[in-house]
Amino acid sequence: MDAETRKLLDPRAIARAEALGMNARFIVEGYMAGEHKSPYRGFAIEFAQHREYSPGDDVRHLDWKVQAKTERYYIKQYEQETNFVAHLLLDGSESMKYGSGEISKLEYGKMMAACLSYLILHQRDAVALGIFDEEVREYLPRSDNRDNLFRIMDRLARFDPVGGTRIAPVLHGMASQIRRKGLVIVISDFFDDEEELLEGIQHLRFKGHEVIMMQVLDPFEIDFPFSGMVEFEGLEDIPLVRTRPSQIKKTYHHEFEAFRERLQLACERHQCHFVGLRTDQSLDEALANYLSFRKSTAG
Amino acid sequence: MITMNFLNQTLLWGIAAISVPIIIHLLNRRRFRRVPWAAMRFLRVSVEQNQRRMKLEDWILLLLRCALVALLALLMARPMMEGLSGVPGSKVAVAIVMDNSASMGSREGEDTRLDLAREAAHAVLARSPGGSPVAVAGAFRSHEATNDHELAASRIDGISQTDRHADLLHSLEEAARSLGGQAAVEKELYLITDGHAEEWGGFAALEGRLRDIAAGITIHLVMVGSPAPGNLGISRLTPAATLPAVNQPFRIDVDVTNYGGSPMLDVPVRLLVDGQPAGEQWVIDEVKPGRSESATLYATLPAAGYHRVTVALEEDNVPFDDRRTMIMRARDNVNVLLVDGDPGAEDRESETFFLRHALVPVPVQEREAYPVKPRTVSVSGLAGEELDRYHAIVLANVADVPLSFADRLARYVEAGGGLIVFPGGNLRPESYNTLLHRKHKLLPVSLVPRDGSSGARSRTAVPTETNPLGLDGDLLAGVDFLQGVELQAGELEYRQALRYDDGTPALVESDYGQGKVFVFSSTADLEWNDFAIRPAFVPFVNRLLGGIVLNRENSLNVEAGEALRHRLDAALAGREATVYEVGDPEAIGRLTTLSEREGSAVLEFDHASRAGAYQATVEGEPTSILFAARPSLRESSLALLGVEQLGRLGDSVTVSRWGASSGGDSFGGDRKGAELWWPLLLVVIALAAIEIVLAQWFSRSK
Repeated sequence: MDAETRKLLDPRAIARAEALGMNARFIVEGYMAGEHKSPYRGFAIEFAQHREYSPGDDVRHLDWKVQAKTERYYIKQYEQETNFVAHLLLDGSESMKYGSGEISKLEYGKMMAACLSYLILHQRDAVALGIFDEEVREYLPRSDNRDNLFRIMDRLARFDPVGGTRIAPVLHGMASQIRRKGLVIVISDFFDDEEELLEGIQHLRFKGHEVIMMQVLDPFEIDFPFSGMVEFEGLEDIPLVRTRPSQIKKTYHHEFEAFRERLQLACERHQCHFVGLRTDQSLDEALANYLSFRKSTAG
Repeated sequence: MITMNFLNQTLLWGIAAISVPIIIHLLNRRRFRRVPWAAMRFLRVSVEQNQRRMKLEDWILLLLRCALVALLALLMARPMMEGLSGVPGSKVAVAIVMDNSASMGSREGEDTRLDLAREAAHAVLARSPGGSPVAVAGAFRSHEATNDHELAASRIDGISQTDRHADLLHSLEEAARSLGGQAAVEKELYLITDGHAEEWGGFAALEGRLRDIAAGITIHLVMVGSPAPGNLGISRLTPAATLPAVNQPFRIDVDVTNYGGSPMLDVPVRLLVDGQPAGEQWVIDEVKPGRSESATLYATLPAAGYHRVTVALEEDNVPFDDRRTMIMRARDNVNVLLVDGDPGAEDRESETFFLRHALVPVPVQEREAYPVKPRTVSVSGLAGEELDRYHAIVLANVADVPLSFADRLARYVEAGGGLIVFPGGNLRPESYNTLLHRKHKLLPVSLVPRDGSSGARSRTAVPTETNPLGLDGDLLAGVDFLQGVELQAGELEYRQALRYDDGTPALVESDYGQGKVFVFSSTADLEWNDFAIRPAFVPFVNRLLGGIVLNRENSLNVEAGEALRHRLDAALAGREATVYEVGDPEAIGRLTTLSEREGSAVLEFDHASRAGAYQATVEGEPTSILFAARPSLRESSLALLGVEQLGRLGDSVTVSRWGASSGGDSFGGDRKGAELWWPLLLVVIALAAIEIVLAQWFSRSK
């Protein structure tokens, strides 16, 4: 595990989350035991599919019959997977590069994705990872193999943003591709067309997925603490804006908060969970917040 | 009609400074920091919503700042409204000229006219708006204008009485010039005077010059005092040209003039030597109006050295001319070098025989004590003589003047020595004319031998009108002059002291440097005349010598206000001298440094503005030098500017008379202009306050 990967796994955050008793596995297994109301009802007995082997998969799960017939390696997934599959979708657009402090939104999102992956895999659940901007740039299929964690970290660490944001097509694509109901966690600043974004969420919800929208924001984006004459340079090829921020601060706050409120209301309307995150907020708090939510929805 | 103008028009260029806030505004727009930003959509919306308002606010602030700068420039340029009054803070430039000439010392009851002038000046000051520049000047000295009215008041009190004659028009012009440099809505010049007519020069010229001065300036002529009922004054004090010797009485001629309109009877004239009464007083029976009468007094100087000789009348309402002092030096040793050009076979035949006896007209046993010490040498004996030890040198029938001696003689006379030339049969005029007249210009005339035929006729000599030696015409009338040289005038100046009855000059005198030269046209013995055996000869010779010796003291007697220039031993050059007014225990000594000029140390002093005696103590010297200032005669007349004359001054001058009852109410009453700096300052302050508030308001978060 190289330095970049270590950086993504915040041991304190994970330890803190476990200590709080927020156990993701408990939530999923609770569903399996029928103890809890779950969106994955009847899911476990239906699923069976083959997936092409990829390096890192456990060879014990190879379907030798298929190999004998086709001479190709497929994994019998029903034998290994649980009912809980989490699809982590991380916004890797250029707007996520912004960071007023030591850490950018993307770096925070990467850490968030890494921690969630670790937790989920640690509970022997499956995780799929997608990093997108205007389309999906990186994708790792679902896997419950803990060894897969290394690859997730590696992909996250290697990723460099290059493009603008278009979340909706990605969500639509995911809704079409994911055949089994699961949990879709979107980590983004959601600086995109609101209507299209909500249509994408609606699509996922229509397919029966539970959706968690984690909005990662920089404190400066929330507080807008600039003074003097400032030229703002858009990170996604947006023209420059030169202004005196102090004179528009209230309007900005108003617009920004209205956007967040609209987003939260839409999430409520579509029964998906909205989690607001600040990059100056410790990651364990964010995880605790998420797991608390999961527990409450499970309960 | 109200018109607007600016007092400092040059500062209107300051309006160009409105470019400063514009430049700062533009520079501020260029000074920004660049920030990469993600939430651009919210930013753009916010900017679009506030764009118009922000631009409007920027414009308002920019306009306010430009207006502020422009108003400040206007404020500095000091705008004024002519024809508008009653605006607070308006200042006027005031010049107060107080006549402190001799006539202002005239008594008005308990006070003098100068005391009244001070009251009037204080009244002018009291009616000048606070902070107005006020320049205070006497008739002879001015001060820089000051905004500190307490300082101006102290300067008014510091203007002291003088015994000088003032040219008030000149003082007015000086004051007007200083006012011209002031920037003020109104410029007021107050001349406070007794209106003494002598101080105004030619009245016709005065009117025109006043009009020039009055351009842009309001001139107030404030008259103080009332006409004096009469004035008796000493108009002349002249010692007879005899040699003032220790304990030898000498005559002093005094003229007393009645400047008033009534005859003055039984006028006593007193003499004081060194402040002590001397001799008996002289009483003039009557001095008619406008006439002068003479008094003759005899003074005796008790010891060798300088003495104050004062003549005094009883003090009247115009006191400055009731007393006059002059400095005289009593000598116990006057050395005279007689150069004998014709020694003869025996003493009686020598050319200088009669001169020697005339110079020492006392019995043999008294000669030792007599101050005049003649020494006779021949031409050949001149080489060994040190000329500087002699007060006078007499050339008697000396044939030729040796070349080297001519040079020494010129230097000697220039340094203050005296030369008397007597011609004779041996004298060769060409030598004198070439060396002493043309080369050194020592002799003011050239010597021309007289025609033999005309020389045979006997002539008599008479004193000229000025009679500088005070010679007695009656005594001279008995002298026959048979022969002589003609004293031919050239380009050099001279004065005739004696002339012959045919009008030709008999004796001429001239100044040469610090010295004096007499040229007589006839002999000192009996060769060409019988003068030497006549009673007129002894006083003639002594007055020649007295004229030379007294000439040395002339520089110690100056008119009040005139600069003293007195030569002293060259070794004293660079030393400091302290000068006090004698008889004034409160007088503060003034320091002056002796300068070096033409081989002598020169005591210079130009602060003798009061008449009387002064004492100069030179550093390291045991004895003091006395000198005296006499009052200006022109101040003695009582003529004041008349109503008709004052009326002719026209609109250029406002004439008012100062009196305790008037209280100076009219001073400044006609001011018709106002400065706008005060209201403008309020506007500037208000704009500055608005700018600060708006800048804060606009910069708050919106």
